[in-house]
Amino acid sequence: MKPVRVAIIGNPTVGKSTLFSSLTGIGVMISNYPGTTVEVARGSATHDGVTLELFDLPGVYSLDMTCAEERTVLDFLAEERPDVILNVIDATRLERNLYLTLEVLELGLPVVVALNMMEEAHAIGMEVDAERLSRLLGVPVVPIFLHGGLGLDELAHALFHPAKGKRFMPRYDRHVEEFIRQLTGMQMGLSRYDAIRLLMGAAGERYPEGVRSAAGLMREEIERTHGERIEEILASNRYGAAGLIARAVASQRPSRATLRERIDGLLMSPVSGMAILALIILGMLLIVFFVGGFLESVIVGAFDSMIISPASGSLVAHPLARVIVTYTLIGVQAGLGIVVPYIMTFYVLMSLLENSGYLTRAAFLLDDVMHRLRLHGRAMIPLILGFGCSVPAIMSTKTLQTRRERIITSAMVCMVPCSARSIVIMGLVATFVSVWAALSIYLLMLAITIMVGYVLGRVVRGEEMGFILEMVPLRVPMLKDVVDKTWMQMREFVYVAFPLLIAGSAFLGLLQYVGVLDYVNSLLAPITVGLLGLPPYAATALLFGILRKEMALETLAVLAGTAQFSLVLTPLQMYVFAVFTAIYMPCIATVTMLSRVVGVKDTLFITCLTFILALVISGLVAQIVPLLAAIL
Amino acid sequence: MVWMRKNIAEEYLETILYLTKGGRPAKTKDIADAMGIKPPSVTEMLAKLKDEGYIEYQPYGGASLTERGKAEAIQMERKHQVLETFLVDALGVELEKAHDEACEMEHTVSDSTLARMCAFLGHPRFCPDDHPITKGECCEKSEESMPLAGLKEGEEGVIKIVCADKGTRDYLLSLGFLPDTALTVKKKLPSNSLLVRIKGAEIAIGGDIAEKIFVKKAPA
Repeated sequence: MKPVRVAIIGNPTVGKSTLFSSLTGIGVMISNYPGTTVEVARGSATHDGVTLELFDLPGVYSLDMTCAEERTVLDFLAEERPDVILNVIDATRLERNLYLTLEVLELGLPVVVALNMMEEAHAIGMEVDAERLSRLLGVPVVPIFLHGGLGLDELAHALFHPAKGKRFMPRYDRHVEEFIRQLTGMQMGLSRYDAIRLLMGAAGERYPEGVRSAAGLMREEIERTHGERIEEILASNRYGAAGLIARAVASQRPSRATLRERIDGLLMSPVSGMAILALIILGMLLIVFFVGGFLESVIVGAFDSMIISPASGSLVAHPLARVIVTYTLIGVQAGLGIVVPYIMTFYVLMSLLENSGYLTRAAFLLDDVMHRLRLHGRAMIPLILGFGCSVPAIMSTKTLQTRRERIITSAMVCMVPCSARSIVIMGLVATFVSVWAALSIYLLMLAITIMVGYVLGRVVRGEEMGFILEMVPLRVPMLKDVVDKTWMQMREFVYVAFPLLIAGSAFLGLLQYVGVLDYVNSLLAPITVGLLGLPPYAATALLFGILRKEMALETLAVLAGTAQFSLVLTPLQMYVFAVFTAIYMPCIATVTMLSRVVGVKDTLFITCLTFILALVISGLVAQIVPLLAAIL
Repeated sequence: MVWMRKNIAEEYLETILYLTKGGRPAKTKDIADAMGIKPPSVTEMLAKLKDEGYIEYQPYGGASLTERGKAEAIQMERKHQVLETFLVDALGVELEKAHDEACEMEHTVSDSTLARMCAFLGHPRFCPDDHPITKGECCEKSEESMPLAGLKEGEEGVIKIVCADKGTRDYLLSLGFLPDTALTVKKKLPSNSLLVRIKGAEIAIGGDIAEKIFVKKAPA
C-alpha cells in the first residue's frame, strides 16, 4: 500500500516538531528545501501496517507569501502534493492559530487538526471543546496531551481517514465574494482558492494573462470602494471568523495572577530581567568552559594514549601509512573533542533555554542593544554561544529571520574568542607573558567584534526587518525535547563537518610527509618572519591551527621542541602569535558550518576578512611595539 | 512663466525664514550669498515681495517676514522637510541628494499628495537632519490616535492604522494587527520596546515599529 504523505503546518512554537518526533521517532532526515535555508524535516511512522510519511514544514503565521518560510510552505504544497495536511494548533492561543487554519482549509486538501498544548490550556484555566471545534470546522480535530502521550494513536488514525464532509470556509465581504463567484464561474477551472489568490495579486504565472488582469481590475475596484487594501479586508474577515469560532469552543475560567505570570514579570522587567539574563549568560559560559573543557581533556587524552599512540607505534615500519593514519585519527580526535564536550553541553543548555521559552524573553530585553548594530535582539544568542564554540553558534544563526542578519552575525561570531582560542591565549600569553596581556587580547577581540558588527551593519545590504517576535509561553521543558534537539544538532555536525575535518587532517599529514610544509614555511616567511617577526616554523603551526585552533599551540610546541615557550620565543612573539591565532581564519569545522548557513561566497568573504584583519592587527602590534619600546 | 516666478518667490521666503530664525532681519547680502544670486537682483525681488505683503523690508535694515509671509514660508519648509524625510527614510536616497531634489519638488507637489506622504511616514516629527517638522493639518487630524509607543504599561488601546512598509505590515497583519483590534501593553522597556497582548498571544515589538502603529487609547 502506498504511504500516506502528510505535511505538518502550524504557527511557530506550537509544538509541531515535538509532535513530529513523537510520531516518527528519531529516524529523521533534515534537508534544506531547494534554494533556501528553510529546512524541511522528513520522517516516517507505521500504523496498522500502513506507512505515514511526514514532512515537518517551517512554522508560519499565514500563507500569504510575505516571508521565505511562507513561500517554502506554499511551494512545497504545490510541488509535493501531500495527501493530507496536519494543522497543529496551540489551544492556549486559539484565535491566532485558527487564522492559519482557515487559510489551510481554503487550500482544498484534506485536513486534520491536532489541538496541541491541552495540558497548558488546562493549567491556565482554559477548556477547549474539541468535538465542537471539529463540527464547526468540518474536519477531524484531535486533542493532544503530549506530556502524557495521549492522542497520538487517534491522530494517526485520523490521518488515514480524513473525513470528506462539508468544511468551514471563511466568508468574505459581499463585494469580494461576488468577484470570487465571477472568477470561479469563468469556465476556466478556477477553484475558490485560485480566485482568492488572484484577487490578492499573489498568483504567479500559473494563471493565464487575461484572468490575471481581470482579477487586477477587480482588486482595484474593491480597494477603491473600501479605501482599504484587499489584504486587510481578507485578513479582518478571517480574523473575525477565527474569533467567533474561538469564542464558541473555548471557555476561560477567571484566573488569579499565577506563579507563572509572576515569574514572567520578573524575567522581563528592565532591572531584574537584565540581572537574571547576565547570570544566565555567565552561568552558561562557566558551565561550558568547565564541563566542556573537562570532557575535552578527558576525551582528547584518552584518544591520544589509547588509539593514536598505539596506532602510530605499530606502523613505524611504514612511514607513509603511519603519517596518513595518524593524521586521520587526529582529525577524528579533533571532531570528538569539539562535538561531545562543547556542542553537546551547549545544546543541552540551549534547548533548556529555548524550550522553556526564555530565549524569546532574552531577545526582547536585548533588542535595544543590538539595534545599534542594526540587528535584532535575537542575534545576541549566537554571539553568546560563540564564547564556547563557533560551530553551534553559527548553526544557531539559522533561526535569524533575514539573510543579512545571518551574514553579519556569523561574521561577528567568527571574531568572538571561542574556548579553543582561549586555550591559546591562556596557554601562551597568560602563562608566559602576563594575565593582563591576555586580558588585553580579549578586549581587543571584543572591540573587533563590535567594529565588525558596526561596519557590516552599515555595509551589508538586504532586507531589514524591525523587531517583531512572538513570546513563547513559559513552560517546563520536556526531557525528550532536550535530548532530541541535542542529538539532532550533534548529528548534523557529525555528518557535515566530520568528513571534512578528517580529510583535511589526512591531507595536511600528507603534505608534511612529502615535505611541502618546509616549502610552505619558506614561502610564507616574508609574512611570518618579515611582517610578524615570528620564527619560520610558526607558518606550519598556524596552518595546523586551521584544523582546530588550539592545535596551533600544540604544533608550535612540537616544532619548537619544547612547551616551555619562554625559552624559544620573546613575549612580543608570543603575544603576536596569540593575536594572529585568535583572529585569522575560523577553524575548518566553523568554515564548513558557515558555508552551510550563509553559502560559499559569503564564507569566502568572511574568511578573507578575518585573514586581512589578522594580518593588519598583529602586523601593527609586531611593528609598533618595538618602536614604542625604543622611544620609551 | 507664472509658476517660475512663484518658484523663486517661495525660495526667497524660505531663505528669509531660515536667516531670521535668530530673531534679526535678514541682510540683503546674506540672502544673496545663501541663494547664490547677485545682491542687486535680490534687492529688486525683495521690493516685489514687500509690495505683495509677504515681507517687511528696509534698504540697509534687512528683510523680515510678515504673518502672511511667515505662514507661506513655514508651509514651504514643511513641504521640503516631509519630502526630504520621504526620500531618505522611505526610499533610501542619500541625504544630500534628497535635500537638493526636495528643493525642486517642494514647488510642484500638491497639498493632498504631501498629506499622503506625511501619513505614510506616520506623521514624522523630525526630518533626517533632526530639525523639527511643523505639524500639518493631516498631523493634527491623526493626533486623535497616537503611536502605540505612547501607551504606558498596562494601558489598552484599539488599533487605528499601521504605517510600516509592506513586508512589515503584512507580517503584522497575519499576527492580527488589524484596524479596530484591541490590544494591551503588558511590558514596556526604557527603549520603548513593547510587549503587547493581541488576539490571545503575546508579541514583542521594537520601539521603531511601535511608533508606526497608531492606536486610540481606551479609557481606563
